[in-house]
Amino acid sequence: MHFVPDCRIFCNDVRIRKKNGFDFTSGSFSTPLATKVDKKFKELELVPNQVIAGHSQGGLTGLGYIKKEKAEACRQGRPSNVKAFISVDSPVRGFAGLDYGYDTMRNRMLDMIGVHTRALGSTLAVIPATNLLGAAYSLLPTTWQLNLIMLFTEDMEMQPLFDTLVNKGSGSAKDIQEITDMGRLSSYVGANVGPTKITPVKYQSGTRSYFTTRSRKVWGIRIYYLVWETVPVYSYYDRYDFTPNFRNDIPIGHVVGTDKDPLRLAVDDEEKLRTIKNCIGVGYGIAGGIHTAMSVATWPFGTVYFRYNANNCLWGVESTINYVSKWGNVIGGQTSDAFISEDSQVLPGKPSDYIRRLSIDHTRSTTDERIWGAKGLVNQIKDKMGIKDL
Amino acid sequence: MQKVPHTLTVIAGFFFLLFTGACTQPESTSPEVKYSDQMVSVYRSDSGTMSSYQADVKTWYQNNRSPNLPELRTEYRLSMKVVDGKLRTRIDFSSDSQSDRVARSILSDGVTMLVLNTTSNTIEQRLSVTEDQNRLALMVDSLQCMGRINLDHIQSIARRLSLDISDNTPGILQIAIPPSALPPMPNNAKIASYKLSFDSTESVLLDSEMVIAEEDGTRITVTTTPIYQQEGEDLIKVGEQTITAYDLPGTLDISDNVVQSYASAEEIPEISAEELAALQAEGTVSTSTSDVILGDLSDPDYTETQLTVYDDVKINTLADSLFRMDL
Repeated sequence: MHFVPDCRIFCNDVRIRKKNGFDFTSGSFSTPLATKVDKKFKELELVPNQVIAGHSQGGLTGLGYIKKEKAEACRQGRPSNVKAFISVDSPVRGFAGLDYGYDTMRNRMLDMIGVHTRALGSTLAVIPATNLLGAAYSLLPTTWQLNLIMLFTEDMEMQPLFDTLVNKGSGSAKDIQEITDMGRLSSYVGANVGPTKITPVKYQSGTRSYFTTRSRKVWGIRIYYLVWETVPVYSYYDRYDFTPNFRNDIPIGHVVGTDKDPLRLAVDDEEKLRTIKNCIGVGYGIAGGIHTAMSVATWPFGTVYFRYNANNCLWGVESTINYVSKWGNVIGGQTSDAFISEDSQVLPGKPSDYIRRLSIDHTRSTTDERIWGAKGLVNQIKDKMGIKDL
Repeated sequence: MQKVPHTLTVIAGFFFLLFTGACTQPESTSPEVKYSDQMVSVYRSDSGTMSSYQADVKTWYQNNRSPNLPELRTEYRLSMKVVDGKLRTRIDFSSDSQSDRVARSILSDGVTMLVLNTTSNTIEQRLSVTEDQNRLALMVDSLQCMGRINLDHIQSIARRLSLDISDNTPGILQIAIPPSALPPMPNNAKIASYKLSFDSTESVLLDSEMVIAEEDGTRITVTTTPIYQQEGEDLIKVGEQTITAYDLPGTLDISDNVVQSYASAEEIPEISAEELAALQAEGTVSTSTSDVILGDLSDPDYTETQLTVYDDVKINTLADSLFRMDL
């Protein structure tokens, strides 16, 4: 299985497929995207009638390439060889996971790891590993901690990427330049797509009543009591301040992946991961109940100790049951193809005829016939653009 | 049977007693003050000593760095009864709260824990309470945890265990428990301090605080505060607030952040339905791709508040058979 961002060329007379994305084998993610663009330009400069189709990071590389190609064509006094650009599951407006910055994304990953690490520790404190959790552990690969959070197995080539993000990325910015170049405010995205600033806004969708607490201080003692409170319920939106800076003299289209379930990224191990997830969730839940019972039985001396451990387990359950939104929150894709937010897969102002949505995850979109086949979405968009293969 | 109205009229008269007492009459009896919309429902089958307690427990969670309203995270039914001088507990989780959608119950007699699959009525786990855990089980022969306590008894236990007792603050009795007296924390975390504070005037637990030091330098302070409600002469526990503060080492580099930050949810600009529709039409707005982070974005610290409400409380209504462990 390969999970490789790709920048392909469909031409009237040549179809070239050239991998140009993350190098998962080496585990190095330090190549600036501008360097990838230069490399691509050297390969393709003289190929006529190009339609660039970029998958994932390849979409961003492709936007850099078509801009450079035009600039070079102008400089050389010749027409551009690029006829159109189509992105596939690509964060063409920059990777939303980096919106709060790389350090924050990494911190969110570590926080999720912390939730599961504490939940596992608190679970094992009351349930021997040979019981319920033992079954789950026997299925877990050695890099269980990251896999538990990111729900990948070792044979997923994504593993080194997350390993780098969490464990090495803080060492040197150069280690991860290939990743940070994808941020909406990176100099690369700024130059080839356009810089983005985001202002959160809220919209009131209703009201809700719920219990909350109030307190007052009496003789130096703070007393808490329950009150009902009715408050507005808001939905939160990202408002974009985007300055277009991408090449816009050719047709541009997008294939947007919409599958939200990250477990499907593990193509061959999806069912195994679901089993692991369920085993772990059940283990957390049972341990949470035991700690809750212990917090009652050991009152008052042991209450806060067991309450803390119960919470660890119950937060673990919550993170396991709601893994889609938890995952999405970490990498900025709650409305996603399980990796990249839908919004960031589309450049503004593109005709709806040039946009296709498909419920597909980021792994399968690399090679799926529904996208890349003769009657696939890429060719459908090309048809709408009036571009025919010879 | 004496039925207490569901919307009871006085929130913890004890609170008010203290409150008014602080101003004028420290020794006055409870004056009637009504907080009619601030109560949980309590049903009491008789006026005798509390021998059993049952409540529908709901726990809401909120993070101080998120603008989202508290979300319901946990629901279960808690049942407790003193049977043959021993406190029995039963916690029932519905199938909705479990990852595999199987309803479960946890039963305990203080010595053994039973995990029961209530869908198939089979025992999934039978666990013994460890010596470490049981060392803390000093009050298991009564339901004092759900109301007033015998503070003299607590003090005598604390003295017997050579715990550090302090009553330097008027009205407050503080007991510090050495970390060595507690079960070890998972993942090599260490308990830095552990103390309980009691209101010695009203004989109730005020709060419990535990400070944990994790290996990576994270410091976690957990404070649990019970919430009581006045029922005649009694105080009934109707909730518990747990505040967990995470103090993480270091700061975050936010030089590549693209999101406008706000100190509080109130500061986030509000838009109307018409404005939202217009922005959506021009493609300059979308549902937030991740949770909004409030406050100083370079500060990784956060505080979780967990409010547990014991609703639909029933006192002295439970049969012994609910706690049977000889399936």
